Amino acid sequence: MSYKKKTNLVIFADDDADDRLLLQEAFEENDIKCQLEFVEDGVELLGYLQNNATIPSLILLDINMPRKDGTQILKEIKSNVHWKHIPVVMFTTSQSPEDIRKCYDLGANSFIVKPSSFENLINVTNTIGQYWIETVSLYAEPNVY
Amino acid sequence: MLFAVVLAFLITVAALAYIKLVSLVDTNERTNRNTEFVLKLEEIMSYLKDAETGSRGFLLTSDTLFLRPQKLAGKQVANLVLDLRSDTKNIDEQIPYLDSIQNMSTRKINNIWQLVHSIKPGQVNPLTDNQKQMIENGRLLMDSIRATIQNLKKMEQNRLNFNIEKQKKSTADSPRFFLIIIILAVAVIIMTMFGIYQQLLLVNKARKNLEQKINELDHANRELDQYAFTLSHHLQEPLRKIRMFSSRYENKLKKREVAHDNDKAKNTEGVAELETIRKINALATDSQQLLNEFLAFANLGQKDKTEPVRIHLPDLLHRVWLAQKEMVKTAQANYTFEGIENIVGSESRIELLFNQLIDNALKFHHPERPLSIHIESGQELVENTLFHAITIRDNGIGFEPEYAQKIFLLFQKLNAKTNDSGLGVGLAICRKIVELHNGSIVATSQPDFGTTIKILLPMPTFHA
Repeated sequence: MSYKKKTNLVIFADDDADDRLLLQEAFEENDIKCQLEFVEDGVELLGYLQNNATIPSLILLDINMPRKDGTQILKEIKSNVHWKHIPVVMFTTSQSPEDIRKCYDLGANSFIVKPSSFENLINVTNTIGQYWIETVSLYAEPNVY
Repeated sequence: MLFAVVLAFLITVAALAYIKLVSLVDTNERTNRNTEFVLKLEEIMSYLKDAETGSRGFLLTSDTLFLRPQKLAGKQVANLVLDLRSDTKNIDEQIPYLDSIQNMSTRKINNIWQLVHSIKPGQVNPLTDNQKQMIENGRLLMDSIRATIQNLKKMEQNRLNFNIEKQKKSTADSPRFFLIIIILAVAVIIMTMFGIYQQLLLVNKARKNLEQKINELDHANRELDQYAFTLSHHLQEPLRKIRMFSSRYENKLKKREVAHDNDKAKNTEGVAELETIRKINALATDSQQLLNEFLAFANLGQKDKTEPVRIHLPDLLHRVWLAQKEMVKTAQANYTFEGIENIVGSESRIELLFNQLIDNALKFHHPERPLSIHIESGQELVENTLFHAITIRDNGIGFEPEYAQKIFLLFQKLNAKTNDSGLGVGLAICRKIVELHNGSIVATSQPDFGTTIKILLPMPTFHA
């Protein structure tokens, strides 16, 4: 049985095209070593997880999205045996204590309020990359091929 | 008013019915007494007749058996007359007649006894002249007794007839009388009930109208709050984006500036561009902050689920102070607290209240001296009601006393020129929070010396 070091896959689920563009730029600016993929809502995220063999290293999840909102998706991911170990970082404009509490209750690994300036966004993405990509150990499934 | 009239009417009807009934019973009683009176008179007559007949029998047979009625008659007649006289209801004119009946009866009975005693044992008819005279006297007495009794009887009979006539009349009247009274009473009761029903309908209609108006008002209010909330929420996103993109552009410009460090013309152009983009960013930041504060204000009207709890003021102040540490540093501020440590209220709102008050004091600190804030918490009696009084006194720049009311209104800025971040929502939030706690808030100030804000909160019904 061999363990293979794969490229880190980060999925960003957000229905807002601007936010997706800005985040991508911030990731590039920080030169974070990962493969960044975008989905536009919760249903698409679930489809992506089902249809791709690669388990992502991190999911960045917005709360206010059409079709299925962030907390619902969070619940489904955290109650699925194959996915529950994937780190999920909430990335949202909401600052309401109820939302924060609910997300942590459902098993979110972090809750980050979207920054209001590009500079702060660069700082925040840098922290995310430093911590979730460079620092922490993630569970990698044994290579079955 | 209507009720009083109806009550008076019903009482009158009841009183009339009672009087009628009493008079009926009275007439009846009187008729009975008449009959009894006549019967008693006849009884007297019959006793006397018995005595007379008895004496005749004795005269014929000399048998003492015939003397028994005489013995009885004397006693019975006296009793009966006494009976008749003792009846106080009897009319005075009858009394002399009764007296003369008594008198004559006594004489008659004595006369019989005299006659009986005058008969000597063994005497045989004919009677002596004396005895004949006695019999004649007895007969005359008997006649006048009979006449007197006849008279009395006639008088009584007349009265009886009169009473009977009267009774007949009133008895004939009464069913009609009672029927009319009952019909009247029922009519009045029905009318009253109808009136009350009409009133109730009116009152009910008014109440329903009022309820509907209140509902509509509530609804409109909620809708307005919802609009304010939704609108400010939706404006947040584009503002955030404007800031994001402008700051991104600023980033790019800065980089280019570094690249073109030697090119003076391009550099000047770059500086102007940078200035523009910074202004855009600053404006968006201001608007965002205004929206945030307004959102906090609109939020106060939104949720009402905050239960009143006991709040430890020194702890709360400590938290608020820590949250403002940047501004505390700038203003070189310190604060002191004394007095009652616990208050009762909605924790998040009270925290927001002190947050805004401290924020305000820090914002408007005097540039020439360190800021000191003193918070005092105690009890105060206002118009016989005990309040929890909290005063927040600072030595900041203060304001002109004429603005004391105005500062609590939404979007009222006094220090327009100072270009600080005060947007005129903070004290409006304070006022709304205090009002939500059924309290009051006033500000007094002396320009250049400082501001005192005083909050009165109702004392909790339980002791915290």
